[in-house]
Amino acid sequence: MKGTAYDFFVQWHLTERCNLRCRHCYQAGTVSEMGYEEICRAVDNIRSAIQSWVTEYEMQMSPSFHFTGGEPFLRKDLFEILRYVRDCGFSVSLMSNGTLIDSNMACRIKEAGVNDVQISLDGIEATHDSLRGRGSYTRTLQGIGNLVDQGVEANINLTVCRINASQTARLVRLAEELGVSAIAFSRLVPTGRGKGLSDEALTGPEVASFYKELRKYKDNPKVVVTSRDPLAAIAGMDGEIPQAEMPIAGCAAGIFGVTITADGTIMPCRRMDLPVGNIKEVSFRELWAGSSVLWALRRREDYHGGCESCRYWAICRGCRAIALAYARASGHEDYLGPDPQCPYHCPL
Amino acid sequence: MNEELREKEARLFQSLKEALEKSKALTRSCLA
Repeated sequence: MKGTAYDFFVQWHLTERCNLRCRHCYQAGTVSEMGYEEICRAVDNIRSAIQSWVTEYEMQMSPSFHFTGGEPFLRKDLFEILRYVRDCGFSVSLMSNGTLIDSNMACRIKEAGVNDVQISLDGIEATHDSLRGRGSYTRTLQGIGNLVDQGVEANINLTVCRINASQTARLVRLAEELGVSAIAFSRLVPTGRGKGLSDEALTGPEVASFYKELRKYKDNPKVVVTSRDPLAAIAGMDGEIPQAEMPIAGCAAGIFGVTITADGTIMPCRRMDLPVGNIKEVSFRELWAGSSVLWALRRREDYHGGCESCRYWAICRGCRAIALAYARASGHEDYLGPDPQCPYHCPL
Repeated sequence: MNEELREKEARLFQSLKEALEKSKALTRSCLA
Protein backbone atom coordinates (compact mmCIF):
# COMPACT_ATOMS: atom_id res chain seq x y z
CA MET A 1 0.00 0.00 0.00
CA LYS A 2 1.25 3.43 -0.85
CA GLY A 3 0.19 6.28 1.39
CA THR A 4 -1.07 6.44 4.94
CA ALA A 5 -0.13 3.78 7.46
CA TYR A 6 -2.76 1.75 9.24
CA ASP A 7 -2.06 2.64 12.87
CA PHE A 8 -3.60 -0.45 14.40
CA PHE A 9 -3.42 -0.61 18.19
CA VAL A 10 -4.14 -3.10 20.93
CA GLN A 11 -5.09 -1.70 24.32
CA TRP A 12 -4.34 -4.49 26.74
CA HIS A 13 -5.54 -4.52 30.34
CA LEU A 14 -3.04 -6.95 31.86
CA THR A 15 -4.74 -6.88 35.24
CA GLU A 16 -7.81 -5.35 36.78
CA ARG A 17 -6.13 -5.13 40.16
CA CYS A 18 -5.47 -1.53 41.13
CA ASN A 19 -3.95 0.31 44.08
CA LEU A 20 -6.54 3.08 43.64
CA ARG A 21 -10.31 2.96 43.54
CA CYS A 22 -11.31 5.89 41.39
CA ARG A 23 -14.91 7.06 41.41
CA HIS A 24 -15.08 7.46 37.65
CA CYS A 25 -13.36 4.21 36.62
CA TYR A 26 -15.00 2.31 33.76
CA GLN A 27 -14.04 -0.91 35.51
CA ALA A 28 -16.42 -2.26 38.12
CA GLY A 29 -14.96 -5.59 39.26
CA THR A 30 -12.05 -7.94 38.67
CA VAL A 31 -11.55 -10.91 36.38
CA SER A 32 -8.96 -13.68 36.23
CA GLU A 33 -5.62 -12.86 34.61
CA MET A 34 -3.87 -14.57 31.75
CA GLY A 35 -0.42 -15.87 32.60
CA TYR A 36 2.77 -14.90 30.80
CA GLU A 37 2.72 -17.92 28.45
CA GLU A 38 -0.91 -17.30 27.52
CA ILE A 39 -0.13 -13.65 26.82
CA CYS A 40 2.77 -14.60 24.55
CA ARG A 41 0.50 -16.95 22.58
CA ALA A 42 -2.08 -14.19 22.30
CA VAL A 43 0.54 -11.75 21.02
CA ASP A 44 1.57 -14.38 18.45
CA ASN A 45 -2.08 -14.70 17.44
CA ILE A 46 -2.32 -10.97 16.77
CA ARG A 47 1.10 -10.83 15.12
CA SER A 48 0.03 -13.57 12.72
CA ALA A 49 -3.06 -11.55 11.74
CA ILE A 50 -1.04 -8.40 11.17
CA GLN A 51 1.51 -10.27 9.07
CA SER A 52 -1.33 -11.61 6.93
CA TRP A 53 -2.70 -8.11 6.40
CA VAL A 54 0.71 -6.91 5.29
CA THR A 55 1.48 -9.78 2.93
CA GLU A 56 -1.97 -10.35 1.45
CA TYR A 57 -3.24 -6.78 1.22
CA GLU A 58 -0.01 -4.79 1.19
CA MET A 59 -1.15 -2.81 4.20
CA GLN A 60 1.46 -0.39 5.50
CA MET A 61 1.19 -1.07 9.22
CA SER A 62 2.44 0.71 12.31
CA PRO A 63 0.98 -1.49 15.07
CA SER A 64 1.32 -0.63 18.73
CA PHE A 65 0.49 -2.28 22.04
CA HIS A 66 -0.69 -0.12 24.95
CA PHE A 67 -0.55 -1.95 28.26
CA THR A 68 -2.62 -0.86 31.19
CA GLY A 69 -4.75 -2.21 34.02
CA GLY A 70 -6.10 -1.80 36.66
CA GLU A 71 -2.62 -0.63 37.40
CA PRO A 72 -0.12 -2.37 35.11
CA PHE A 73 2.78 -2.03 37.56
CA LEU A 74 1.04 -4.51 39.84
CA ARG A 75 1.95 -7.23 37.32
CA LYS A 76 5.25 -8.74 38.44
CA ASP A 77 5.94 -9.99 34.91
CA LEU A 78 5.19 -6.64 33.23
CA PHE A 79 8.72 -6.13 31.95
CA GLU A 80 8.96 -9.69 30.61
CA ILE A 81 5.73 -9.06 28.68
CA LEU A 82 7.05 -5.74 27.36
CA ARG A 83 10.26 -7.43 26.25
CA TYR A 84 8.37 -10.16 24.41
CA VAL A 85 6.16 -7.68 22.57
CA ARG A 86 9.10 -5.41 21.73
CA ASP A 87 11.04 -8.43 20.43
CA CYS A 88 8.08 -9.14 18.14
CA GLY A 89 8.74 -5.75 16.58
CA PHE A 90 5.83 -3.83 18.08
CA SER A 91 5.88 -0.40 19.69
CA VAL A 92 4.90 -0.55 23.36
CA SER A 93 3.32 2.12 25.54
CA LEU A 94 1.97 2.13 29.06
CA MET A 95 -1.09 3.72 30.67
CA SER A 96 -0.89 4.11 34.43
CA ASN A 97 -1.99 6.19 37.40
CA GLY A 98 1.70 6.95 37.98
CA THR A 99 1.66 6.37 41.71
CA LEU A 100 3.98 3.34 41.62
CA ILE A 101 6.63 4.90 39.36
CA ASP A 102 9.60 5.63 41.59
CA SER A 103 12.98 6.53 40.11
CA ASN A 104 14.01 2.87 39.85
CA MET A 105 10.80 1.98 38.01
CA ALA A 106 11.24 4.94 35.67
CA CYS A 107 14.74 3.69 34.90
CA ARG A 108 13.40 0.22 34.08
CA ILE A 109 10.76 1.74 31.82
CA LYS A 110 13.44 3.65 29.98
CA GLU A 111 15.59 0.53 29.58
CA ALA A 112 12.57 -1.46 28.36
CA GLY A 113 12.26 0.83 25.35
CA VAL A 114 8.75 1.95 26.18
CA ASN A 115 7.61 4.54 23.66
CA ASP A 116 5.60 6.65 26.10
CA VAL A 117 3.68 6.48 29.35
CA GLN A 118 0.20 7.96 29.61
CA ILE A 119 -0.59 9.07 33.14
CA SER A 120 -4.11 9.76 34.37
CA LEU A 121 -4.52 13.09 36.12
CA ASP A 122 -7.99 14.38 36.76
CA GLY A 123 -7.68 17.93 37.99
CA ILE A 124 -5.97 20.15 40.47
CA GLU A 125 -5.02 18.49 43.75
CA ALA A 126 -8.34 18.68 45.60
CA THR A 127 -10.28 17.53 42.54
CA HIS A 128 -7.90 14.73 41.64
CA ASP A 129 -7.83 13.42 45.20
CA SER A 130 -11.62 13.60 45.49
CA LEU A 131 -11.88 11.33 42.45
CA ARG A 132 -8.85 9.07 43.01
CA GLY A 133 -8.18 9.09 46.73
CA ARG A 134 -6.33 11.28 49.20
CA GLY A 135 -2.62 11.65 48.52
CA SER A 136 -2.82 10.23 45.01
CA TYR A 137 -2.19 13.60 43.33
CA THR A 138 1.18 14.02 45.01
CA ARG A 139 2.26 10.48 44.18
CA THR A 140 1.08 10.83 40.57
CA LEU A 141 3.08 14.04 40.13
CA GLN A 142 6.13 12.34 41.62
CA GLY A 143 5.69 9.50 39.14
CA ILE A 144 5.51 11.93 36.23
CA GLY A 145 8.60 13.72 37.53
CA ASN A 146 10.52 10.45 37.72
CA LEU A 147 9.62 9.61 34.12
CA VAL A 148 10.62 13.04 32.86
CA ASP A 149 13.90 12.87 34.81
CA GLN A 150 14.71 9.58 33.07
CA GLY A 151 13.90 11.03 29.66
CA VAL A 152 10.80 8.85 29.20
CA GLU A 153 8.07 10.54 27.19
CA ALA A 154 5.17 11.13 29.58
CA ASN A 155 1.78 12.50 28.68
CA ILE A 156 -1.32 13.23 30.73
CA ASN A 157 -4.85 12.03 30.08
CA LEU A 158 -7.72 13.67 31.90
CA THR A 159 -11.31 12.44 32.12
CA VAL A 160 -13.50 15.50 31.72
CA CYS A 161 -16.74 16.04 33.59
CA ARG A 162 -18.42 18.99 35.31
CA ILE A 163 -16.14 18.52 38.32
CA ASN A 164 -12.98 19.49 36.42
CA ALA A 165 -14.15 21.10 33.16
CA SER A 166 -13.28 24.60 34.36
CA GLN A 167 -9.67 23.76 35.26
CA THR A 168 -8.20 23.59 31.76
CA ALA A 169 -5.97 26.67 32.00
CA ARG A 170 -4.45 25.59 35.31
CA LEU A 171 -3.90 22.04 34.05
CA VAL A 172 -2.21 23.18 30.86
CA ARG A 173 0.15 25.32 32.97
CA LEU A 174 0.80 22.33 35.23
CA ALA A 175 1.55 20.12 32.22
CA GLU A 176 4.04 22.72 30.99
CA GLU A 177 5.74 22.85 34.37
CA LEU A 178 5.94 19.07 34.59
CA GLY A 179 7.62 18.78 31.20
CA VAL A 180 5.19 16.25 29.71
CA SER A 181 4.79 16.02 25.95
CA ALA A 182 1.01 16.38 25.86
CA ILE A 183 -2.16 16.74 27.87
CA ALA A 184 -5.25 15.09 26.42
CA PHE A 185 -8.87 15.38 27.48
CA SER A 186 -11.43 12.56 27.25
CA ARG A 187 -15.10 12.65 28.16
CA LEU A 188 -16.36 10.69 31.14
CA VAL A 189 -18.09 7.46 30.08
CA PRO A 190 -20.78 6.63 32.64
CA THR A 191 -20.07 2.92 32.81
CA GLY A 192 -18.59 0.68 35.50
CA ARG A 193 -18.06 2.69 38.69
CA GLY A 194 -18.35 5.79 36.50
CA LYS A 195 -22.12 5.26 36.47
CA GLY A 196 -22.11 6.89 39.88
CA LEU A 197 -20.97 10.15 38.27
CA SER A 198 -23.61 10.19 35.50
CA ASP A 199 -24.98 13.50 36.73
CA GLU A 200 -21.55 15.06 36.31
CA ALA A 201 -21.28 14.14 32.60
CA LEU A 202 -21.23 17.12 30.24
CA THR A 203 -24.31 17.98 28.20
CA GLY A 204 -24.11 18.78 24.48
CA PRO A 205 -23.83 22.56 24.99
CA GLU A 206 -21.22 22.01 27.71
CA VAL A 207 -19.21 19.78 25.36
CA ALA A 208 -19.33 22.50 22.70
CA SER A 209 -18.21 25.11 25.19
CA PHE A 210 -15.41 22.92 26.54
CA TYR A 211 -13.95 22.12 23.13
CA LYS A 212 -14.24 25.76 22.05
CA GLU A 213 -12.12 26.62 25.08
CA LEU A 214 -9.66 23.82 24.29
CA ARG A 215 -9.16 25.19 20.76
CA LYS A 216 -7.49 28.23 22.29
CA TYR A 217 -4.50 26.01 23.04
CA LYS A 218 -4.24 24.60 19.51
CA ASP A 219 -0.86 26.18 18.90
CA ASN A 220 0.38 26.10 22.47
CA PRO A 221 4.18 26.16 22.18
CA LYS A 222 5.24 24.27 25.31
CA VAL A 223 2.94 21.26 25.45
CA VAL A 224 0.51 19.66 23.03
CA VAL A 225 -3.06 20.22 24.22
CA THR A 226 -5.40 17.75 22.57
CA SER A 227 -8.32 15.39 22.86
CA ARG A 228 -8.89 11.91 21.50
CA ASP A 229 -12.62 12.46 21.65
CA PRO A 230 -14.12 12.24 18.14
CA LEU A 231 -16.23 15.32 18.91
CA ALA A 232 -13.14 17.39 19.65
CA ALA A 233 -11.92 16.90 16.09
CA ILE A 234 -15.27 18.10 14.79
CA ALA A 235 -15.05 21.20 16.97
CA GLY A 236 -11.79 22.10 15.25
CA MET A 237 -12.82 21.14 11.77
CA ASP A 238 -12.54 23.63 8.95
CA GLY A 239 -12.67 23.17 5.22
CA GLU A 240 -14.24 20.28 3.35
CA ILE A 241 -15.62 17.37 5.35
CA PRO A 242 -14.09 14.13 4.01
CA GLN A 243 -16.60 11.46 2.98
CA ALA A 244 -15.83 7.72 2.80
CA GLU A 245 -17.57 4.38 2.89
CA MET A 246 -15.40 3.25 5.81
CA PRO A 247 -14.66 5.44 8.86
CA ILE A 248 -11.34 7.22 8.42
CA ALA A 249 -10.98 8.97 11.77
CA GLY A 250 -12.74 9.60 15.04
CA CYS A 251 -13.90 6.72 17.20
CA ALA A 252 -11.46 3.81 16.89
CA ALA A 253 -13.95 1.05 17.71
CA GLY A 254 -14.09 -1.59 15.00
CA ILE A 255 -11.56 0.20 12.81
CA PHE A 256 -8.24 1.13 14.35
CA GLY A 257 -7.84 -1.12 17.35
CA VAL A 258 -9.24 -3.40 20.00
CA THR A 259 -9.15 -3.83 23.74
CA ILE A 260 -8.16 -7.06 25.43
CA THR A 261 -9.02 -7.46 29.08
CA ALA A 262 -7.03 -9.39 31.68
CA ASP A 263 -8.88 -12.66 31.04
CA GLY A 264 -8.47 -12.40 27.27
CA THR A 265 -11.88 -10.96 26.43
CA ILE A 266 -11.77 -8.88 23.26
CA MET A 267 -13.86 -5.70 23.10
CA PRO A 268 -14.13 -2.96 20.47
CA CYS A 269 -13.25 -0.48 23.24
CA ARG A 270 -12.68 -0.99 26.96
CA ARG A 271 -15.33 1.53 27.82
CA MET A 272 -17.90 -0.32 25.74
CA ASP A 273 -17.76 -3.53 27.79
CA LEU A 274 -19.06 -5.45 24.76
CA PRO A 275 -17.29 -8.81 24.39
CA VAL A 276 -16.77 -10.05 20.82
CA GLY A 277 -14.56 -13.06 21.61
CA ASN A 278 -11.63 -14.25 23.65
CA ILE A 279 -8.05 -14.09 22.39
CA LYS A 280 -7.32 -17.49 23.94
CA GLU A 281 -10.06 -19.14 21.89
CA VAL A 282 -10.28 -17.44 18.50
CA SER A 283 -8.11 -16.67 15.53
CA PHE A 284 -7.68 -12.91 15.80
CA ARG A 285 -7.55 -12.63 12.03
CA GLU A 286 -10.88 -14.41 11.67
CA LEU A 287 -12.46 -12.34 14.41
CA TRP A 288 -11.36 -9.05 12.84
CA ALA A 289 -12.73 -10.15 9.48
CA GLY A 290 -15.94 -11.74 10.66
CA SER A 291 -17.30 -10.23 13.89
CA SER A 292 -20.83 -8.98 13.31
CA VAL A 293 -20.39 -6.34 16.04
CA LEU A 294 -17.20 -4.99 14.45
CA TRP A 295 -18.87 -4.92 11.03
CA ALA A 296 -21.87 -3.06 12.40
CA LEU A 297 -19.53 -0.42 13.81
CA ARG A 298 -18.02 -0.01 10.32
CA ARG A 299 -21.27 0.45 8.36
CA ARG A 300 -23.08 3.78 8.22
CA GLU A 301 -26.40 2.10 7.37
CA ASP A 302 -26.40 0.23 10.70
CA TYR A 303 -26.37 3.48 12.72
CA HIS A 304 -29.57 5.21 13.74
CA GLY A 305 -30.81 8.19 15.67
CA GLY A 306 -28.34 10.73 14.31
CA CYS A 307 -24.87 9.64 13.18
CA GLU A 308 -26.10 7.82 10.06
CA SER A 309 -27.43 11.08 8.63
CA CYS A 310 -24.48 13.25 9.65
CA ARG A 311 -21.86 14.64 7.27
CA TYR A 312 -19.21 13.97 9.91
CA TRP A 313 -19.91 10.22 10.14
CA ALA A 314 -16.70 9.05 8.42
CA ILE A 315 -14.51 11.13 10.71
CA CYS A 316 -16.46 10.91 13.94
CA ARG A 317 -19.35 8.46 14.72
CA GLY A 318 -19.48 10.01 18.18
CA CYS A 319 -18.18 8.05 21.13
CA ARG A 320 -19.68 4.57 20.77
CA ALA A 321 -18.98 3.85 24.44
CA ILE A 322 -20.99 6.88 25.57
CA ALA A 323 -23.80 5.98 23.17
CA LEU A 324 -23.90 2.47 24.62
CA ALA A 325 -23.67 3.64 28.24
CA TYR A 326 -26.67 5.95 27.82
CA ALA A 327 -28.63 3.30 25.92
CA ARG A 328 -27.98 0.78 28.69
CA ALA A 329 -29.12 3.32 31.28
CA SER A 330 -32.43 3.32 29.39
CA GLY A 331 -32.54 -0.46 29.26
CA HIS A 332 -31.36 -0.91 25.66
CA GLU A 333 -28.33 -2.86 24.44
CA ASP A 334 -27.62 -0.44 21.60
CA TYR A 335 -24.15 0.69 20.54
CA LEU A 336 -25.20 2.24 17.22
CA GLY A 337 -27.54 4.97 18.47
CA PRO A 338 -26.77 8.65 18.95
CA ASP A 339 -24.00 10.04 21.12
CA PRO A 340 -26.33 12.02 23.40
CA GLN A 341 -23.69 14.62 24.21
CA CYS A 342 -23.01 15.53 20.57
CA PRO A 343 -23.71 19.19 19.71
CA TYR A 344 -22.37 19.02 16.14
CA HIS A 345 -24.86 17.01 14.07
CA CYS A 346 -24.69 18.22 10.48
CA PRO A 347 -27.34 16.72 8.14
CA LEU A 348 -26.21 15.20 4.85
CA MET B 1 -10.18 -19.28 7.14
CA ASN B 2 -13.17 -20.07 4.95
CA GLU B 3 -13.98 -18.46 1.63
CA GLU B 4 -16.75 -16.25 3.01
CA LEU B 5 -14.44 -14.78 5.65
CA ARG B 6 -11.69 -14.24 3.09
CA GLU B 7 -14.10 -12.26 0.94
CA LYS B 8 -15.17 -10.18 3.94
CA GLU B 9 -11.56 -9.56 4.86
CA ALA B 10 -10.64 -8.53 1.33
CA ARG B 11 -13.58 -6.14 1.22
CA LEU B 12 -12.59 -4.70 4.60
CA PHE B 13 -9.01 -3.97 3.64
CA GLN B 14 -9.93 -2.60 0.23
CA SER B 15 -12.32 -0.14 1.92
CA LEU B 16 -9.74 0.64 4.60
CA LYS B 17 -7.09 1.45 2.01
CA GLU B 18 -9.42 3.83 0.21
CA ALA B 19 -10.46 5.43 3.48
CA LEU B 20 -6.93 5.81 4.79
CA GLU B 21 -5.93 7.64 1.62
CA LYS B 22 -8.48 10.29 2.55
CA SER B 23 -7.48 10.46 6.18
CA LYS B 24 -4.15 12.23 6.07
CA ALA B 25 -3.68 14.65 8.96
CA LEU B 26 -6.79 13.46 10.76
CA THR B 27 -6.70 12.05 14.28
CA ARG B 28 -7.50 8.38 14.05
CA SER B 29 -6.96 6.71 17.36
CA CYS B 30 -8.91 6.82 20.57
CA LEU B 31 -7.34 5.07 23.51
CA ALA B 32 -9.72 4.64 26.35
